[in-house]
Amino acid sequence: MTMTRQQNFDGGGKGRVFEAAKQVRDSMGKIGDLARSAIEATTDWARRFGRTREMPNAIALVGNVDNPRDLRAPRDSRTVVSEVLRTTLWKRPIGNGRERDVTPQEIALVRPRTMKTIDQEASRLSDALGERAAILRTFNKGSRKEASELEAAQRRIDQVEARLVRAAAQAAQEMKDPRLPETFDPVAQYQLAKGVERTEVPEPGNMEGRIQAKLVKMFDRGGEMDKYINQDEGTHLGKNLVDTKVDRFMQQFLEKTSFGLIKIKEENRKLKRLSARLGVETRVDADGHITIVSAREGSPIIELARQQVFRDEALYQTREHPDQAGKYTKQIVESTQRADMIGTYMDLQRESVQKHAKAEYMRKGIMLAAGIGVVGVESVVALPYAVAGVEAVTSFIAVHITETALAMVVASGVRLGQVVSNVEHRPHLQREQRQRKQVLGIEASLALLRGDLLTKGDQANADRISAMLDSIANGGGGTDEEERRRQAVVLQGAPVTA
Amino acid sequence: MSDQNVVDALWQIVDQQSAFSPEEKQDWLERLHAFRDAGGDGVGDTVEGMCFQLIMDIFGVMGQEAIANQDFKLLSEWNHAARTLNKNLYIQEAVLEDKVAKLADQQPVSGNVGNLPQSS
Repeated sequence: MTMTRQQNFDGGGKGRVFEAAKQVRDSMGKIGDLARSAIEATTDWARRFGRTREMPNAIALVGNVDNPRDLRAPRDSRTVVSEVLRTTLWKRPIGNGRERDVTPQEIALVRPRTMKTIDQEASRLSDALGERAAILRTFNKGSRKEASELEAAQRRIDQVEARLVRAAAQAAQEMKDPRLPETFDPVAQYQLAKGVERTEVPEPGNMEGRIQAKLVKMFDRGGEMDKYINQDEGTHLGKNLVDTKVDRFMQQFLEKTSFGLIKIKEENRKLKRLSARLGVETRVDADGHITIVSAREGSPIIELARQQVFRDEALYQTREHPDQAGKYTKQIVESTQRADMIGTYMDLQRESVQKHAKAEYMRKGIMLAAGIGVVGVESVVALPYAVAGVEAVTSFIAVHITETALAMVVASGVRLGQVVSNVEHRPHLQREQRQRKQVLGIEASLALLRGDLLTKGDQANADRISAMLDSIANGGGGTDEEERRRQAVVLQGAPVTA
Repeated sequence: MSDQNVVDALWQIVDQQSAFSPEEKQDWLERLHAFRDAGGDGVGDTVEGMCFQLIMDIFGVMGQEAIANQDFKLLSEWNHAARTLNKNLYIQEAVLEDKVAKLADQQPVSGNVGNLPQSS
């Protein structure tokens, strides 16, 4: 297994992702399809985004594809137009990350000259992208001449893209042509599409203050973000499983066992993950309602609010000063595009986190049904299964065990050895947790338990605890198989009364 | 390659992600151990599923950084890649659902599990 870090991967975002993908590929030959998918995704991304300053990474990515000739041909001009103008002209956001096509009537408002400009620039962009792709295919990392050519090609791409964006802004402006029927108002249409009342166009003023106000409004109950995190599919995992065999199966656990705790655990994990991705801190009320209590600067949510305020300001200025509309059109286009991109990011993250949690939920159900045990849950969830005799509580996080929990485990007669040996068998866990001094928590709990046993005159079980403490003090016995077996025998003695 | 090596390889990737929170790393650790302890695919998890999810997590962090750096071109590309990977997560989810549905057809909930005390 090779885990070398390639020189080309310093710093660049795609390098880090590709490195991860490549490690996966290198390490696991059996997942060739996965690695190919991941590498293709990152390679395609890098190829399209192969700016000169990041070229070493892009080249490394391209160079590591199994067959560089598989790289797709440059897109035709229609695709380019579609992509470049997707969120500016041809598509309109309608909320929840969805978009609609602009209507033929709207497109017809764009003047022929502007349309011609768009077509020409799109064609030039296609040529420039093709040119860069051709250079990339033969690029020699050491060649200064080719690096210079790439730089020039990229410059041309940037220039053409800038002209395209300007043409799109011009087209958007032309949609507000006075020849239009009076009922057509792009600003109002846009706001209606976004579900924003006309009266919400803000007055000019302190931008930061307005961003703050926007945030407060977003986070209020019923506000944009509140709906985002509190809607059913966002937080109430079980509801996603309704009306399926899967749900009925899971329901049996919910009714007959402590499986509900696993569900809550997954809910909490999901919330933590999503909060981390959105850059916020959340709190769950007694009624299960989630509240965002803080958001850090630069977080997706703050940036979303900022772009929305910028956009609203430009919309306001456009309405108040129609003669200067051209000046603000670019800002409307740009901030709308950015807000949509952030919204897409947030939706994708929620989708991913949701899938992760649901998969975990089902996975634990499968394991329980198979009698394998409970995986990756806190002791409070796992303990009942251990006590009830589920054979292997496979991922019992022993550091979370409280004194009471330990007493329960000891009372079960056989579980303590399992718990401790699980810790011993997990070098990563042990290392991580020793670093955080959490193992001390186990030792303290064991010591307390031993004291309690001695107080009650239970010398035999107190001795068992002493043996465990010795084992932990000696490094957990993780490398001494014989010692571990001996401990397991000792600990599987008669149940004790704690 | 053994399950242990798979777990080791993935853990190294997780461990290198400085932007992952300790909780996130702990989640991954538990998941990887569960995968190994239960004999790999037997738990319903798959190497492919774990890899897709891990890369998706890494993409999430990168997208967040792009937003913080106001690099919207980069964000657009991350979104594109993340959308591609999310499709693969759909596939993984379908596999799991199929597995659970089959279990639901085959057997009732195991007896000893059904007698568990309730925790609070």
